[in-house]
Amino acid sequence: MIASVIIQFDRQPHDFMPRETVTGTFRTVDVALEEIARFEFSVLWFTEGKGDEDLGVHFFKSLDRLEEVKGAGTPEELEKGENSEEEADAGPEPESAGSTGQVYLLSSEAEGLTYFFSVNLPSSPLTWHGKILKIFWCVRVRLFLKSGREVMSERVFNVGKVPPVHVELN
Amino acid sequence: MGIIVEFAFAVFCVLAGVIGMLWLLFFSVLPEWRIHERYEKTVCTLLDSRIVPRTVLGNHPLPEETETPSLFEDAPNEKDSEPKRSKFNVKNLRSKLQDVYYLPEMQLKYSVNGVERTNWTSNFGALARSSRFATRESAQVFLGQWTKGKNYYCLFNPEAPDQVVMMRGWHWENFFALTIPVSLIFMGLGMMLHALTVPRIGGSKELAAVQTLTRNRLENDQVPEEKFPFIPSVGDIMDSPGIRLPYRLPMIDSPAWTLGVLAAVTLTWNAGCVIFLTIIACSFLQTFADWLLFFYLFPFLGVGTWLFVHTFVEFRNATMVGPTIAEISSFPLIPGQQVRVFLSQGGERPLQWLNVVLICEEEAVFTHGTNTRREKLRIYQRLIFGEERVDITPDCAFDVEFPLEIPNEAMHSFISPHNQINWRLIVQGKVGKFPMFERVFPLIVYPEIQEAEK
Repeated sequence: MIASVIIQFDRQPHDFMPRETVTGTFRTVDVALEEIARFEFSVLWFTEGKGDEDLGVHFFKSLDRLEEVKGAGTPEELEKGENSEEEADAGPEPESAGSTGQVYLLSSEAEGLTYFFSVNLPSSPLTWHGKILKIFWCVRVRLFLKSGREVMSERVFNVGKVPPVHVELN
Repeated sequence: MGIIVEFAFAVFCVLAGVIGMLWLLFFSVLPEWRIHERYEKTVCTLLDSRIVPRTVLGNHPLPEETETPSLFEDAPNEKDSEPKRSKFNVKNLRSKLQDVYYLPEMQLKYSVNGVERTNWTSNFGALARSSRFATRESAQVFLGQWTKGKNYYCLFNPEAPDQVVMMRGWHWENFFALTIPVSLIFMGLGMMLHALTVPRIGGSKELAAVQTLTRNRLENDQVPEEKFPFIPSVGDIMDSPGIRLPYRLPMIDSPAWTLGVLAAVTLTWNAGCVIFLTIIACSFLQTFADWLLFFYLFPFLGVGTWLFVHTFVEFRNATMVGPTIAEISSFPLIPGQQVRVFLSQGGERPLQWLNVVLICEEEAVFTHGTNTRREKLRIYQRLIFGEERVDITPDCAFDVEFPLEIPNEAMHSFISPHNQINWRLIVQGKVGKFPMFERVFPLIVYPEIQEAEK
């Protein structure tokens, strides 16, 4: 078995505008519930190109405890009591990068766990395909297993509608 | 693991620095200080002198060179007595270490508390850069300063009267050498401090980024979240009103800064050259001219002259072109927006031409080996104003107002630790035979978010 995480967006194609909400699900594949130590869910942008990589985490949620994974709360319960920003203030470990969003367990079946996520995007930066700099947005899920293994999965999406660079020197 | 390696390297640097500093202090600086502070002056008579060949390895005289004749006796044929030097060879390091150097020594007769003493000394204080000479001839010339039978001043150690030196003085190069171990110590301490104080961030790099962000917010007293994150701040420009239009744009890389830095570098460099020239002049005035240092200084003098000329030219160019003022009707900008720009160019002489160019460039900072490099790439450039033969007099600046439009599908300004996207307004012009000048003003472009706000 090769453990993996599959991320899906609710919208096709994966194009979003600034300040819009990204929604979707991610589910574990070929992972026994007992093997899971914790999840890390993040919505972030990162750069590629000539310069060293920069990373900006817009939303971050860590599900450390197995109880949290097992405790399949309803979306209503979770929406009522689980505001990520409140959690960030309450605990010593930051739960989000100051943005609004939520992640909760949708279903727990023998085939795997399915989570729902919903994150409001910021005003900037927008997705950019430049010459020596590219800016990508993605949803990234890291699954930490008790064995010490780490499974990482990410899905890129676009923010804004800036076309790829066309060098224009008049 | 990385932190352990960093800490171990830091400890190594500190230890190496401490050992190096102690070695220099105990074997070079302290003996000179002791002579300077504790030795007493007296009159001595030079009885004899000799040149002792030694080797680097253990300072043992070579078997064939143990018998060294007095200078005042008939010297044997120098060529015959010159030991053969072995060429350096890694496989034959020992023979290299047996290369010979020559140690001049003098036999002095002096009186301490009524007791006459006769001792040999090879310590000549500041008279010699080193008491070791590479050739017998140079050692011989050095000893030629003194005459047998004559009286001279010497210094002896009151606690051990048999220890005698010819002169006290400091070898200043030892103090310069101290900067190396001291730098190592500071560098190592800095690395240790860094290794101990950097917070341990476990887990993923996303978690590390969030923890850093949270820490920065706490340290900055809960700075509210930015409306447009990762876009340069517009605060300075918004707070600077213009005369003709609402906002005055600040100039990037003002020539005053460049000139100040250039002048400081030129002064420092040439001051260093003057110090070394003084040292060389002193060595010429004394017996031993330091020709090696003299020729070594030539390239440094060349660089100093070039710096001086370059600073002068830059200063002349900067003062020839007057101040440039750029103002804008709206700020910050968004793609597709059209604004008015007011430009005022002062100066003493008319310009051959004046252009205003709107540009956008990507900037990347990257590490290449141990170096950090910066690369810029212009991805958009448009001439928005151009005029030839611009009349400027000291009393009347050239004023002009023109439209500026940011392209419809332009990318917004962006700034992150290693990457940037910058919009700029560049004013270029040429005065007479002088090289083209360029003044750069920042523009900040926000993304258009109307569709998302609906």
